[in-house]
Amino acid sequence: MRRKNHQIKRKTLSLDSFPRDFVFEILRRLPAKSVATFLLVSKTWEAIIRRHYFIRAFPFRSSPSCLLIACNRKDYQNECRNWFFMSSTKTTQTVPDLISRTSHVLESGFNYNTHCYVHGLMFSAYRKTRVITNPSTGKSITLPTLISRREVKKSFFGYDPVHGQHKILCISKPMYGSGTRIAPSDHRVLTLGSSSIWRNIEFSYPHDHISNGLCINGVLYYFAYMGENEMDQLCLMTFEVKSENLRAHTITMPPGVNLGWVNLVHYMGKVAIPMPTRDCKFNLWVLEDSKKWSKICLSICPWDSMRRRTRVISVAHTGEIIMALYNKNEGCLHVVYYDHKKDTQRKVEIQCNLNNVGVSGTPLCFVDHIESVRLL
Amino acid sequence: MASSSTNKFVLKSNDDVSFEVTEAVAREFQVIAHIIDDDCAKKAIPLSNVTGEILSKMIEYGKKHIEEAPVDEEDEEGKKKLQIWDEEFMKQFNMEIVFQLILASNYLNNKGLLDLTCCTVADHIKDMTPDEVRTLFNVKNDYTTEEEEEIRKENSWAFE
Repeated sequence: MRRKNHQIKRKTLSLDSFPRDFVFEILRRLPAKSVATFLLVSKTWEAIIRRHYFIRAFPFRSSPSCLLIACNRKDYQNECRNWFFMSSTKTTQTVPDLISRTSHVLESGFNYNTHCYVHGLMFSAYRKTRVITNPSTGKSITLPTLISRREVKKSFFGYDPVHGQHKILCISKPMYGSGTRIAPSDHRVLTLGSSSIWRNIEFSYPHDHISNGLCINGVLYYFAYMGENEMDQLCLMTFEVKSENLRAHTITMPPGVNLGWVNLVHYMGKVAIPMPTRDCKFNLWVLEDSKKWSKICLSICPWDSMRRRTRVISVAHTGEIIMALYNKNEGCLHVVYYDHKKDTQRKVEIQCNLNNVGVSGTPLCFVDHIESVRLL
Repeated sequence: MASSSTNKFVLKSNDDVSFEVTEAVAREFQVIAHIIDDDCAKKAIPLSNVTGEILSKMIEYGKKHIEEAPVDEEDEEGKKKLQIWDEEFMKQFNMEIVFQLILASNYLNNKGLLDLTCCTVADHIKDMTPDEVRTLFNVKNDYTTEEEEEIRKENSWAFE
């Protein structure tokens, strides 16, 4: 940049005169697909794209709320689970854009699995196999196997926006030691991309989760029961992804919430629990601080007769509450975007049964999907 | 100090073209704002890295963003109007000028124009082949055929 302007006044610019910083600035304003294509431009461009700093800074452009739909189908012949990812912005489109496909190897005779999504990546936990998938590229990697004396009870997935790192937290199953005392647990953390070692964290109190994990602004939340002799104390667990500090905060649930299992959703930077009411509507209990709950009554019953199968998925960054219902016969996902302040709603029907291939189970929906250039 | 709408400053390009601008427009460029704050703007401000052609376009951009600035964060209509003007404004330039605008808006530190110009290049190259990008940026392909094949294979999804 110190060069005089007339020196660069040519038909084309060389990288000497057009500094790398600007190549970086231009690249982060591109779609992930173009970025992947431009790995081929030169080794310098490849180096820029593969830098952690670039991965963290991508994408630059803020986009309207985008829904990621993940469908899978078991392929018993090839012993794998085929995934296909689609995206939909909140228009009235019925056929979503197919973004990518991938396959995960099936563990034999095992059906239970969980999937969660944070900041551009999906994490899948099967019995022993844990896989990270980038839906923007269709690439996936299998994480190193966790070898521990304790059986893993549950894996959570979080993102630290400060260092731009994804981490996986595995909590182990509580075990009884001598007498009635519960033995210390062995909870482990793995940072995606930096090493293949599952590190122990300091917190060794056994606990039993009763909710999904929810990562908001670098903190992973879930509910669990804890206790030295009896697991009877309800706690809100917070795991600060950056410092790997896991903490338990005693808490009381709002009235009417099932204490066996709760589904956590994100509401404007806060943890919330959606609860169906008797009159086919929903209440959204929002955790204001670590003790106090506030209630938002949603005066909406989008699908009266089918309400039992309606799920509140999350709340978009625009503040709209997103509810979904999957109609298996039609292969169609019904989505409602509801603005509770203005009391307006928008319905979108999304056809998930692409080419009539059939989908196993209900498609997964993840809100505020962003493209990621990890795992290129 | 007189109000910023009446104060005038002179900006001088590296090919000796002078432009008289109001303080508000001058302050659109962080570097010039600092010069004004340091009380070093009594005479014409020399800008050694910017030609008259580029500077006149930057001043046009700065003026528009002062005159048509959205009332507040909520002023969606105002933002939209300015965004449409930005798009039209960029259409008149070829890539050579856009590249020069990127360097100049970085030099004079105007974040809005830097973002706009980088976005314009991104939109322009989005669907290009690696070879077309090499030509535009005058970059030499330093991969061997094997290395190139490897990257293509690893990222076949992007080359479909």
